[in-house]
Amino acid sequence: MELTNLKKQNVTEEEAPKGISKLPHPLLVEIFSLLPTEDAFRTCVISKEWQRLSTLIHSFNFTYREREDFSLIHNALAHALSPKIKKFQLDFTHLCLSDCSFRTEYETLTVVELDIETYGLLYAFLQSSCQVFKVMCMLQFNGVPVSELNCKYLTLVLHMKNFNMYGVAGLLRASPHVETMQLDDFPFYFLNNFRCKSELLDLAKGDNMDLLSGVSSVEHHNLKKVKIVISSEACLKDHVKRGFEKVSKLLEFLLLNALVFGEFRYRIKEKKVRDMFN
Amino acid sequence: MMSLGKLITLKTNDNEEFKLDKTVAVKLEIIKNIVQDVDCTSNVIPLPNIDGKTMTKVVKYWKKHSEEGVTEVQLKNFDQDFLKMSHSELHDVHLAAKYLDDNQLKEVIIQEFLDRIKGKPIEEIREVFGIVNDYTPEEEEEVRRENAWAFE
Repeated sequence: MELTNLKKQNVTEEEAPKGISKLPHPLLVEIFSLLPTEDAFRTCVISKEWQRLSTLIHSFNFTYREREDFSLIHNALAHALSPKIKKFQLDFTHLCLSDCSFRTEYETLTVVELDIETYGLLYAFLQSSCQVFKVMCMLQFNGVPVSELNCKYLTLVLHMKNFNMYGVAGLLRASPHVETMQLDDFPFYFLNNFRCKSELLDLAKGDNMDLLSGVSSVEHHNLKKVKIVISSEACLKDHVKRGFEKVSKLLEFLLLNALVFGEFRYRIKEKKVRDMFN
Repeated sequence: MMSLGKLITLKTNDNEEFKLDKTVAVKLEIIKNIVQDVDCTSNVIPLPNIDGKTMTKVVKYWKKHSEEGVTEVQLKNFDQDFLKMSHSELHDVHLAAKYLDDNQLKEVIIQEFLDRIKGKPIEEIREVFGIVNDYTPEEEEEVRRENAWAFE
């Protein structure tokens, strides 16, 4: 008896590379959910089992690429079978601003088409100075009547220096159920890649809007936490001042509208910034 | 410094014993609970779901990560080395981490699985993970066509 057991064990050892196909399905789904969504769906051709599993991913993770028309997002969501979306991330970090003159096809993606009821987290990683926020607004407000996002945890990675109020207003208006709102400074080291200062002028119109008039119809009944994380080195520079004014405007708005406000955290991430250069 | 009184013993399902500094061990939710429940005089905590081989790895990870004065770079190198194991071994460690409720270790393992898939061509993933392609060529063609949007 013992001998057969031993033998068996040896065989399994040799077969070790087959390990992953034997991983429990929930773990595989967990792993696929962390992949860029495109890659997750590509695993469908590996085997029938993986094909089924790839449609069950619960988190979406898209990176904006050049000449993106969002068909990828459409397709992924159309093929996804998961009853609940835990996380939806759109990463605009690589958006090259000179490439991105505003195009009408952006209007075709409306977040309304997603199963918004099931949203857990909307993570908007935005290089927010330019069109991107316009796009986000388009995503949500053009075309189809806006249905609310049921998103409870909203993280905005903002370029503190020059984020666009119009976009923030849009997101807030669409997310009345937000419980935790986090504002992160756009990582400092990306500043070097920032290529489009001139285009800021285009946005002046939308940017100067009064946030209160833009969003005031919605009360954020559930907002309990606001976290703001800023890397101080960036803040100390004069040109960031404008961003701070906006942050304080935003806070003013939140404080006025949040009914059960419980926690406010403001953290300056000085150490991190320093570490980056060491 | 460690004193004998502060050691607790973890005993795996194949009777291997691991002595751990209590301050390290009680960081883990599950150990903390067991320590409270079990008669503390014996100081031996049974781990019925984990074998010695896996636990050796887990303990190695814990020890390195609770070392005093260890730098980020050292930890990174350690992790890189630590994760050089077969898929089934990784899976075992993941199960152990899950049982021990060690979220950090769980994440590290999942990330490693992720890295083994990410950006790899389909054929390579099949090969690396020893997965048998159970599609007929026609079926595979069809699946590819249906999901063409992901392959652009």
